[in-house]
Amino acid sequence: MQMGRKKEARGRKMADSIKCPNCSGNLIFDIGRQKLFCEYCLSAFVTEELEDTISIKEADEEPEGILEEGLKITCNACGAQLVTEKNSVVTYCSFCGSPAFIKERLSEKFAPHYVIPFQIDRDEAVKKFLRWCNGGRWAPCEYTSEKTISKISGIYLPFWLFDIDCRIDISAAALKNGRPLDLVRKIETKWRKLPFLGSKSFNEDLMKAIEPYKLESISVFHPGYLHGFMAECYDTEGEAVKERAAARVKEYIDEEFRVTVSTSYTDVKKTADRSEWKYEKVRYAMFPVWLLRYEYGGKVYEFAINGQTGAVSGSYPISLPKVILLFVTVFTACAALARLILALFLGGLF
Amino acid sequence: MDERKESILQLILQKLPWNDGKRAFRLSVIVLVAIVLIWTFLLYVSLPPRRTVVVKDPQFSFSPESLPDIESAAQRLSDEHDIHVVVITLPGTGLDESENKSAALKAYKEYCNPGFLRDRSGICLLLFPHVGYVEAAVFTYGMARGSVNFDLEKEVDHLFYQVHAPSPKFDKASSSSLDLINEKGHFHIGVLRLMIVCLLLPLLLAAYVCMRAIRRKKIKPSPESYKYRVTRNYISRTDTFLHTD
Repeated sequence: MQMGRKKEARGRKMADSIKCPNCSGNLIFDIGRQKLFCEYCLSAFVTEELEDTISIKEADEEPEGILEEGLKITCNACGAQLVTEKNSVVTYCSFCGSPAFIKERLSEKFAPHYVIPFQIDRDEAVKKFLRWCNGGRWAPCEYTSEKTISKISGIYLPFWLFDIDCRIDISAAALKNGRPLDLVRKIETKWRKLPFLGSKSFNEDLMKAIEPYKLESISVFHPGYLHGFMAECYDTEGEAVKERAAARVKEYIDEEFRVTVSTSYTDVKKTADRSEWKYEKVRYAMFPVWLLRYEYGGKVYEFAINGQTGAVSGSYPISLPKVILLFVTVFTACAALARLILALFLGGLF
Repeated sequence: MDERKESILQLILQKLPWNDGKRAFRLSVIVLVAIVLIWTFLLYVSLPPRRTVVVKDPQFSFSPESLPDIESAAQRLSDEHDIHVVVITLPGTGLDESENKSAALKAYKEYCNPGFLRDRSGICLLLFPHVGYVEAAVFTYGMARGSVNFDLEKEVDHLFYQVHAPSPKFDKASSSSLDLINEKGHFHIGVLRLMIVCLLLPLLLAAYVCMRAIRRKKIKPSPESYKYRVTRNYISRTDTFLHTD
């Protein structure tokens, strides 16, 4: 097994990549096979087989300046110098196309516990995108051009997974056929692996919209899963996410209460809410997303696909010229039709 | 959706002209040219043509003194109602209705043919002096705009009696014209209704179609709580009616 990683040279940070043990070519995570695949010698490896390829436990301290914007790293395949974005974990060498892995951004502090591997490949993602935007019928022509489609990128995003134990204790008043009722609900419930985005650079509402992930097929993290995709590390600590988690838990408590109230009751009002919850565990995971960002008219439109389930969400731009054309066409056609009907059917002798 | 249907859908989506810049441009040009042509045509058919007033007397029934009066009466009728007016004397009895119609059509087309689909509202008075009979044919094309309506009766009578007042043999022309109007189901739509049908309704429909087309997909809210729930135990679930006095 050949190690693709090189030691730092002349003070520069070297990028890592997982090389094929047989031919030293770059390995890419193949979605169809769910294995690391060498496009040169066609070998395939289960990620666990390459356990020692990149040891993320080596870097147990955060090296100085590792999270700086514009960090310069050196491609270990061609030696080109790459400038990375602040939270990028995996990127590509813009010169030779090799995956460039920044191991320090997956150190102890940043080492994820879990990963969900991509299940939706690029072709399927493009199909879903075209179907979602109706082939770009009302979007600007460029939106569905090859140039834009090539920008749909597979990316692993950082998520905090919360295990929450909750004790719901709600009293409420309601009416049934005009008679007042007193309702009491005491429920113990547990939510597991409730995901919250750990990055400020991405739209959280969009990420919520493509939930849920099938958490039963979650895997223990291995860097091999990230190979061939982009990846970001978190920039929001788990503690900082708890506020958002609390808001979601309150929503869920309301929902749990609502489903236990008969639909025949009217005027339901909570009189007391003594619900409590505690965070059992908070773990860090990488979830797969196909993402497209498109700027039009000074506004950024985002589109995302759940890389595991294929759930789609986002917003697309509307082309004003196309809408005007549609309006004028429909108006003209209807006006002409109305005029012809009047002339031909409601007319006189000829 | 099975795979075959899905692949067909994908194929259609990929073939959409909007996906290709050059094809989109070409299609847009074609649509724009079509729109310009349609509106030019609509404008052409909507412009009121110059009204024609023709008084023809091949049977030499009118006296030279009365002819200017008849012409001025016909001109006045045309001006007041914005219609073509044709007055023509014919040989024969005028008893064959189909012959009368074709004669009226022939005369009207010959003298007042403004073009395909254009407003050709008007009246053609066929006079059969040998038997003392008058037939009035009303022509509209759905754009009479109130010109040819039941108020025409008096005007036609006036013209008719101006032409043939001394002769008691002639029947009232207006009764014929009314019969024709009723028979042919002339639909008097009026300017306001015409505007509503031809402009306002299409405008509203176009706006509705545009709104439907550009309706944005909503971003879904968070998934329901049961998606992440592993256990749920009811400790207490009571609904108690309160006593009220």
